[in-house]
This record gives sequence, structure tokens and C-alpha cells, in this order.
Amino acid sequence: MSSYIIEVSDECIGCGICVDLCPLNCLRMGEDNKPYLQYEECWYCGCCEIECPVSCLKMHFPFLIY
Amino acid sequence: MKLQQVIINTDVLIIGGGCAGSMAAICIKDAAPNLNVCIMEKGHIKRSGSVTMGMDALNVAVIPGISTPEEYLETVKKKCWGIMDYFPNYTLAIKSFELLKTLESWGVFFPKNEDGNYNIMQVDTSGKFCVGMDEPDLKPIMEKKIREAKIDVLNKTMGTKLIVKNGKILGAVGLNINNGQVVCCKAKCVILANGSASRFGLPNTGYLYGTFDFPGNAGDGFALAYRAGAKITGMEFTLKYALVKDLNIPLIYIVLTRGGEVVNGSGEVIVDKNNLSIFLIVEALENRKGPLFLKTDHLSKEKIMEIENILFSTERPMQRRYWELKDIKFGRDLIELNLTEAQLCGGHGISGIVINEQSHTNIKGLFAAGDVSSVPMQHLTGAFVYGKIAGESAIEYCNNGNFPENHKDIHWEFDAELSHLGSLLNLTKNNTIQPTTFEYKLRRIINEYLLSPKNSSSLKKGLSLIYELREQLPYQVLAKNFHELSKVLEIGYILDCAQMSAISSLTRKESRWGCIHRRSDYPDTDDVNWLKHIDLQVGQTYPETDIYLREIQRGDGE
Repeated sequence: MSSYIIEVSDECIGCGICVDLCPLNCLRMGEDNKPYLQYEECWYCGCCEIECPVSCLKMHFPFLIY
Repeated sequence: MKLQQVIINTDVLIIGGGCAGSMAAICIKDAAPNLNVCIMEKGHIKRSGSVTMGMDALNVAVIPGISTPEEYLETVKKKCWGIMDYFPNYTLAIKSFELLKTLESWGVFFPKNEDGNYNIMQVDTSGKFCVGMDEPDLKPIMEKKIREAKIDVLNKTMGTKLIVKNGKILGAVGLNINNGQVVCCKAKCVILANGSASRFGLPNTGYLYGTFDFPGNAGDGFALAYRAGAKITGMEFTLKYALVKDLNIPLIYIVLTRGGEVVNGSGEVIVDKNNLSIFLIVEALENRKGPLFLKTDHLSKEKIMEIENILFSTERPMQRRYWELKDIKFGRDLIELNLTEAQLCGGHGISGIVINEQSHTNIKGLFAAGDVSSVPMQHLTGAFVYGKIAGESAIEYCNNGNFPENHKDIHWEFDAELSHLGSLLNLTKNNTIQPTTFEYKLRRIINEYLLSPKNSSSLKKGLSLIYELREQLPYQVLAKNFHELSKVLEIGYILDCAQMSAISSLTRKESRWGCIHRRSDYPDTDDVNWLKHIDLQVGQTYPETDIYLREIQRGDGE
């Protein structure tokens, strides 16, 4: 169980594909050049995780759902 | 933070790059490469629309030798309780198999059994129209074709206004929700394909984005078309599904067609593959005969593996993690079902822009396809079939139409929209309410006053609250950036849909479609007076609404 929706590991290369492809446009790149969830508008589709070219991102379900 | 402006020209503008819009674009470029096509897509074309992560079935496929268009028409007519036009659904049926073959030729995977036949499932009490499709990359396949055809795509751009003069489309305005660029797109014709009103009722979890259908769709297309003068129908069809409680992810068809059962708390079977009907499940839940559960512990290991393979590979593959989190195992545990929030949709239900079998709306040069248009229960097949038809109609319109320059009208409308958007983003105002808070309240009001059991007092009260919220929106809600501005615009779309739904529900003085439209003050179904469509159109001044009753279109020999 996780209190956050997007978990990014150190392997992230900062490509921004997840931010670009998120169907709800709710991710942004942080100052550390890693993605984070800016808006709690996630549909838990998992697109960000599946499209990540280095498998560094893990999606958790929003707290209200489980 | 300032809105930037840009003016572009195209022949065909497509608003919405989901399956319908993508199909329209591909077909236009294929048949008429000389035409310029531009797609405005709110998300990113590669993973946008309702089938973001793929799809496991084509729900409407009339395959020669298996079923007939007439059987399909009978089935849909029964599910709509007669509120459907003959020709749009007939056209869908006769073109559905050709569509399947087109998708297959593009590399979309339709599994076949040992005999070489498609996996055809019976998901209605009559007729086999559902074909298994195992394609997690449906959108990427289409996106590749769009890229190869060099079709212009404006990602992160939502439609905010259709420009119409004297009943004829001149173009549309879009907003880039990341950089604030406001695009005025002059076009010979426009195809509206931007989905349903998925963010309508509030889900039981209270999570605004926990809807069963893609929550990026807030009724944008319904509202844009309505404001521009297009006719909208079936808005009283406030549809709820029965899905996995809280998760709101579809799996009932997949499980029941492989031998699963829906049981109540006493273990009595309510629905299985012999009487497979979502309607029965929804009615049981609405009538407080729940809780209901999906039961799979009697299935073989092979069947469980088959179910899990489908569920965890296409449409919503992330659900595997959810079941692990909840420590629920298929083949061992009961899975609780619940009602979804209410939605308005031309794909699952009957709500949407009125179109004919050529995708024409009542506005010259405006076509509509997919969930935004009313071809009752057309599902994904309808998005593809009518996407193609809208493309063909757009080509014909471009080749035969007369398109005088209308610079003055377009620029006046563009300036007005720029000013409107700028006023909503104005940070010097004293607005304090977050868009999410305002949306929560609006959708709570929809749940409380606009859904079954409906009655005149409740609907009128709901309507007056909607008018109040409409007044408050520009003075209360704060949009601090372009993303939040897009949310304020979406709230405006939900408000339009809520208003139209309340008016349609008030108009239909009968009960129809079970709990979808149950009027406690008119409990009976009245075919003599109400076997009719209820169409709405904007009145003299927005948001005034005119109401029209329209006869059902019957087929030859009906």
C-alpha cells in the first residue's frame, strides 16, 4: 500500500515520455528532472509505467480507490 | 501567465484523437491525400481516448454466417426500449465486419480457435455480436498510421468553441492546456469526436477521476455542439453500469462468458452465461438486492488462467496490482460488484449529438462520430465505423462545397473566445474555490437530484442549483494556470450536460429503461405518448434550451 501514486526509481533517465503520454496530463517534470504527480487526476491506467523505456516508474492506486 | 494566439488553416479539423477521430483522419488521408487534416487532441494521440490501454473485444460485429443485421437491430431495439433510429444502427451492423477485417489488416490481433474461427461471445440474451480482440496497442497502431500519413496533430489541445455562422461551420478554437496557446483553426469542415460525458455523476468512492469510462471526457463535445446549435438527444438516459466495486474496471463479460456467475449474499445465482444481462445486475443493485458478487471458485485452473491472461494484458492491465493489494484471487475469492457513477454516452447508451447514417449533424460541415454521437450502444465498433463514415462525408463536403473567405466572422468569434478564456484565467480576481472542489459539488448535486428515482420536484430543484452554479463559476473558481483553466472549462461542459439531462428527464413524463429513467411520479412506461426521441437545441440565448420531440425512424417494412 502506498500513500503516493507515482514512484520513480533512480534509474529514471528524465526522458519525459511518461509526462507527455499521460492521458490526463497530470504528471510534470520536477527540478530533479524526474516525473511527479502534479494533479491528483490519475485514472490508474498505468500508461506511464508501461511506456517507460527503462522501467523505472511504478504506479500505485489512489487512496480513495482501494 | 498569458494566453498566446495562433491562427491556422486546414481543410478538415478533427476534434478528438481517440478511435473515432483517428479513424476519420486515416481514412481521409487514404482516400483524399490532397486534403489537409488536423487533429486537436486533449491528451497525446498515442494514448488518448477511452481505449488508452487497448481493448479486449469488439462488442458489435455482425459476422456473416453467425448473425444478421436484422438480429442485431432487434437486440439493440430491445435494449433501447425502442428509442433508436433504424438506419444509423443498420449501417453500423452492415459495415461492422468490413471494419473488423480492416483492423486485422492493420495488425490488430483477433484470436482464432483451432478451427480458424474468431472467438465469438454471446453477451446479450439473443445473438452473438461480440468478438474477442486481444490488442493492448490499438492506439499506438493507429498513431503510427497517423504519423506515416503526415497528419497534423495538436496534442494537449482541447476544443473550446465551434465557430458557426448562419448554420455553417467555419472552424473552431482550441486551447493548449500546457502552454496556453489558443489556436484559431479555420476549416472547411469539422468532425467532432471528443467522447462522452464520463465525468458526470460522482463515483461512490468520491474520487472525481475514478469513473468507469475515461475521465478525460467531461461532455466537451456535447457542450460544444449544443452551444453551436447542434441537436442533442437522449440526455435523460443517465446510464449506470455494474462493475467491480470501487475499482470501476470492466470484467463482467470476460468472466461470465467463461463460466463465472453473479451471486447474491445467500449464494443464489442472479446472472450467468445463460442469462447474461448487465441490466439484470444493475436492476438488482438499484433495487437493494445486493451486495452482489462475482463467483469464480467453481472454474477450472485453465479457465482462471484464461481470464487472468485477458484481464492483465489489455484494457486495464494495472488491475493485477489492485488484486494483489486487496489479496483477492480469481478462482478463490468473491469479487464485490457495485453500480458505477452515471454517465451520458452515445457508445454505451443513447445520449449524444443527433447524426444520420452519414454522420451529418444539423449544422452544415459539422460531422460527429464515436461516443459523442447518438448511435445507440454503438460501442468501439461504432467509433471506428462512424469515424470512417464521417471522414467520407468530410471529403465529399470539401470537394463539393463553396467556401468563401469569412475572415471577419472568424476573427470576431476568435477575439470573443480569447477574451472569455482570459477572463477565466484572470488572477487579479478574488476567486478562491479550487476547480476540484467546485466539480465535486456539481457532481454531488447531479447524484442527489438528477438520477433515478427521478421526480418533477427533484429535477426542478437540481436544475435551479445548476443555474446557480453556472452563475457562480466565473466568480468563485480560481484557475491559477492553464491546466486549471482547462478544468474550469470542463466544469462548464459538465454544467451544460447536467442542465440538458435535467431538462430531458423533466420532459420525459414516463418511466423507461428501468433505473436509467425511473420517474416516481410517472411510474409506467407510456409507449403511446413517449416512444419518441427528446432532442434539445440551444435557444435564442445560451443557455436557454428548446425542446423537440422527434418520431422514431423505422426501417423498410417495419
